[in-house]
Amino acid sequence: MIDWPAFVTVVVASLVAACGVVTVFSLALRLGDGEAAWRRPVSYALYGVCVLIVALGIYLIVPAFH
Amino acid sequence: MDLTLLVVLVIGLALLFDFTNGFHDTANAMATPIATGALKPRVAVGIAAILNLVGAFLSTEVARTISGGLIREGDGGVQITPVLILAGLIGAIVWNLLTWLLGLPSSSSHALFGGLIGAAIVGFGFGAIDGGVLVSKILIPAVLAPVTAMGISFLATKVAYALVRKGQRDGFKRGQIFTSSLVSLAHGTNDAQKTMGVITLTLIAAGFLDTDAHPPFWVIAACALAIAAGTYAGGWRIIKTLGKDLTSDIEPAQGFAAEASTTATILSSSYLGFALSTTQVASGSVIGTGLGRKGAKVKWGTAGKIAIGWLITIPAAGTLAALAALLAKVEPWGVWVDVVVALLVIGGIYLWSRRNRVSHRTFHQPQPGQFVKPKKKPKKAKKPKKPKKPKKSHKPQKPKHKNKNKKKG
Repeated sequence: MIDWPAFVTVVVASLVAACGVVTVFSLALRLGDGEAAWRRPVSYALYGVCVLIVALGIYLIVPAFH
Repeated sequence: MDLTLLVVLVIGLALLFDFTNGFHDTANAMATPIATGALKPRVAVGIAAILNLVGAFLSTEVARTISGGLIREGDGGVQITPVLILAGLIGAIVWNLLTWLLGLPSSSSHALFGGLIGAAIVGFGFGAIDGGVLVSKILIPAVLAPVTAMGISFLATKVAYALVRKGQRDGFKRGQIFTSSLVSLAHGTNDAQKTMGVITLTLIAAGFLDTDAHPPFWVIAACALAIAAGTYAGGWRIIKTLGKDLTSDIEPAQGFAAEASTTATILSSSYLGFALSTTQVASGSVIGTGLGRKGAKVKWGTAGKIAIGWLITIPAAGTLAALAALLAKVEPWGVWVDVVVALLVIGGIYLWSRRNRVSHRTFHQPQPGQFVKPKKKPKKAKKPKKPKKPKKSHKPQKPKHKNKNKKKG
């Protein structure tokens, strides 16, 4: 009656997505200020990843893209 | 009663329901950014309204059944008449307004399903209801949704606090705007579609549209505008419950973690085929983030009230709709009495709500809408080596710091 495999997939996917996006954004914030020269570019790259994740979200939301 | 007039009444009530759906669900997306001060209250509801409007136009899939399989509709089942839809809508609207008055974030879809079930039971008896679908699509997910979201949000909050130092955490406000916007957009594509389905199926049942017809443009536009207007009106009571009363002092990092969890859970649930209610997911996320930060308190009394609200949404909306459906059976004037009583009740609830108003002014924000700049840490001895632009003001400060450190050492 309940589609348990689907539910488990949803839980795992949500967990990975939510923790993933929080990790990426947090690291971007963390590396945003600091002394080492490499930190800024890496921070911007991570913000870029966040933008891609938002784009993926919009892709998933808008039915016309499927 | 004249069929055309009846259809007009149903459309009017459906749009009214769409409006209540909008303001009931603003909180799902915008409660946490308002609570943390990431967005000014009016700006937040404005963004949510626009995204709901856009979302409503983007959704192309039309509901084929009014009740999502809860009522045995169509071939071999019952034919839900416009009168029953009208009664169901009255039950759903009144229940949505009552829960709003109490500040309870309850699912508008459940209210609609409950209303239709109540009306269908009066029309056709209990046999019209598919109990299996009720359990597997409504009751069990109602437990799974908040629990899942709570766990995910708890972990996401832990991650955010582990990775980001205190002074940088206001940066999460920027992230909150995006996660909340995604929730709003998803809401627009999902929820406006339900009302479009109700109106389209009513028009089909009345013979104004062919079977399998797509909703006409005016239906899409009207539903989009109704849900956007409702969203802009802002169910401030529910925003207050979700943003302030459920978990004390939500911080930007928590808000971001909670909204990210809500977005991830809703999107994956709708694309991996296990539907979960947005309202329940959002409430679970807020509780989870309260558990995830040391020093934050979850108010379990409020959580309990919300849970009771979820539990009785379907029976309560069903009972209200059943009463309306019974009254509607009285032939010449029943439907009119229904509509008049419903409007009186709606007006009464509105007047009652004015006794203690909750509006955007309720949300005190020390610096509304502005990103609070992270506090600068005291400069370390190394830092002054770096700056390329030689500033005069910097140089005299250097020795001061060093001296201080030396004295302490």
